[in-house]
Amino acid sequence: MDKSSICIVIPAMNEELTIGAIVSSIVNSGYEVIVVNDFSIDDTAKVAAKAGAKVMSPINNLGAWKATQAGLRYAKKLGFNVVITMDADGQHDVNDIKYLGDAYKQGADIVVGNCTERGSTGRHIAWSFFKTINKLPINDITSGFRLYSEKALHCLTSREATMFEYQCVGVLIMMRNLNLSVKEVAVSMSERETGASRIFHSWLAVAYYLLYSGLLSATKAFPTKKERYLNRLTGLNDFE
Amino acid sequence: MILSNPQIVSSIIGVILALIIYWLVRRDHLSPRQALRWILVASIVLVLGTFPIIIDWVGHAVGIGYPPIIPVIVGLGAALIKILLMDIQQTKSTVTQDRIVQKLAILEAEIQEIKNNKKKVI
Repeated sequence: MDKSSICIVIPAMNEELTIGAIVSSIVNSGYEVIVVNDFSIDDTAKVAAKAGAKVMSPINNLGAWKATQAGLRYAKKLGFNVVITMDADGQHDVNDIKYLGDAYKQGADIVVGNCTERGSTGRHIAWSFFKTINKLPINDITSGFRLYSEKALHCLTSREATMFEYQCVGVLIMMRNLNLSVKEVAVSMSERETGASRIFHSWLAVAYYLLYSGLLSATKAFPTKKERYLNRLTGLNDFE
Repeated sequence: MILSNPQIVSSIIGVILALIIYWLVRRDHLSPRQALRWILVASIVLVLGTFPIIIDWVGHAVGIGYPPIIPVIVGLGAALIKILLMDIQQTKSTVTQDRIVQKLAILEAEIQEIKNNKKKVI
């Protein structure tokens, strides 16, 4: 697969300790990198730019998904057909990018780098709970290591996708409603060494996440017709 | 026609409401679009306050034993719908705002890119 057609998007908030090494290793592998510096109070932007990334700095904190979406929009504007998102905390291995690329070549629109061995019992209970409600055929819904095809990119940069706060349930259900194929590939993920998770930084945040995703799963549990859904999305008239 | 004390009080409330709305539009605190709705509310308060008998007629017509509860229920229902509509509007505004923030970040990154390329050329 042509590396110049792939862009890596990394949303980052206060990750100056890890972002430099990640960006360098990706750039050395021959990929273009966009780092979305989501209102960091440290030197994330400087470190990332020095390591060779294109850096975007939104003027307020957008949150993990909307920051990612900003990167997706920029990558799309730059003409990339395939975008891979990665976390900024060093959890994901650059060498695993090729596995995602392989699954894409086999025809997947979205490839999720899956590592279900990680996470606490609580997280696993939450995963299976959401899966029961929304019937999504994905095991690792919270994984930030994903590949998006041109089609997926097209709908994920739409206005309607800006409404989501997390990339988990909402984004995946949107893909299902548009009949896009989602594949999972097993990847290795290391434990976060520095900083705190942006989604699970406190018990209150976890409770909010569970309620939010639970509601989204319940309200969108029944798949809608693709045509009807497309009509509701703005700017997707040329989807096919 | 002689107005009773409660009628006078509720009529005054209607008039004051209308005057406040007039002032808010005049000072650009409220857009005419929103003000029109509030003028309608003020008119209803004024009319019903001055002629409460209308409520009794309505109560009699629809078979409600205690007519004064009608404006309370209608008012609460309207307030609930309005709050829901405001939340829908707020969702739209938040999405627009976030997309502008994203767009701004994209444009800034692009300008930076152009500047970097220029430096390289020089």
